[in-house]
Amino acid sequence: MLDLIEKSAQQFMLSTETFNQVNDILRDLVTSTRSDFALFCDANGNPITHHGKQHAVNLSGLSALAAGNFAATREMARVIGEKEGFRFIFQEGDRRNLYLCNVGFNFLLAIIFDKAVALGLVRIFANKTVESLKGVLDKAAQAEKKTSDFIDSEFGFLLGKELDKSFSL
Amino acid sequence: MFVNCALQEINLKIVYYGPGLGGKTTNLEYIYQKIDPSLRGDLITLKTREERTLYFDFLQLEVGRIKGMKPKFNLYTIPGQVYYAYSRKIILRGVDGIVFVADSQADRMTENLDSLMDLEQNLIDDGFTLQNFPWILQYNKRDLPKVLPVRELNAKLNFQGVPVVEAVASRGVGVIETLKTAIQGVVGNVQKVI
Repeated sequence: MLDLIEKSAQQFMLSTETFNQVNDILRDLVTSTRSDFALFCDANGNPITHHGKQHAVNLSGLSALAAGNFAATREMARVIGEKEGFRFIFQEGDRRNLYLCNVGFNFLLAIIFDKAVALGLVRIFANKTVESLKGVLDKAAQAEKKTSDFIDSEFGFLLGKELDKSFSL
Repeated sequence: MFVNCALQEINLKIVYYGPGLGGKTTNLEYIYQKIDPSLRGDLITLKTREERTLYFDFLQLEVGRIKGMKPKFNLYTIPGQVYYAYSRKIILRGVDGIVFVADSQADRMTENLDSLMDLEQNLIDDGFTLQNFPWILQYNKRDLPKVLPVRELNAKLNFQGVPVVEAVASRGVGVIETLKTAIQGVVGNVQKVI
């Protein structure tokens, strides 16, 4: 079974059931902390899901930057001899703050919240959320090999046609 | 590769690798300009004050649904300068395919080779090799004087016999062909792995 929590995964698949469970956990987090929104993404920068008022935020861009930022911070920890890495990243803005932490090895949780919300509150609920997400993801790894259901030679052929359409200049 | 069944999305990561000033960012800028805005996100670039890539460039592309799934391609560039080794390692994480953008000019061959060796070492560190990973070569800057013939570039860089695209990225020549070739290589590899 693929270990999504402790080992680096080159390929993985998230089932609808797991996705819905993750959504429920994010909704509870946003409600409990009165945060603006929470984003769950993978450590390679792919957004998975979010909850809250994200308005016009570019989630794919935010996920890519969060993943890059977190990976760079992990390397900084390593350089100064902090083997387990830093527990979270906190960025303070004029109106909004950002809290970023890892969920095991392959996932990240970003919480965007108003300045009026206490960091301590966010931190406590973020820790609880990380444990809940780990529990859900631990059970989710079995579905990982089903990509063969749709990525076959026909998929490759149809993708070629779609690419031609997308770039018809 | 990350598959989100609930959203019916397949996310694939393609990294443009190569020496500094080879044209990696130029490739992404051209793709950004040419693709239908409804099929792409913003182009995110993290540059130094001298307009050199500091960390990475990022562009997400989508194509129409295929067999019910929506493929999304996440394109990244790496900073080419030798001293950004950590950044390159980080950006390669979870990569599904690589475009190696080589500078065709004769006096840039050492930089090409150094960058290719750096790529191979980073792949080895992640449990892969250039032999078992989908990658392609783009020979860029074909319009400049003093470029090496393709035969010579192949002899030095293409020891794996991977697909090659000749390009002038600043004018868009070969850029889209490079991307299509890379994507087909990634999809072909996914089929093989499965």
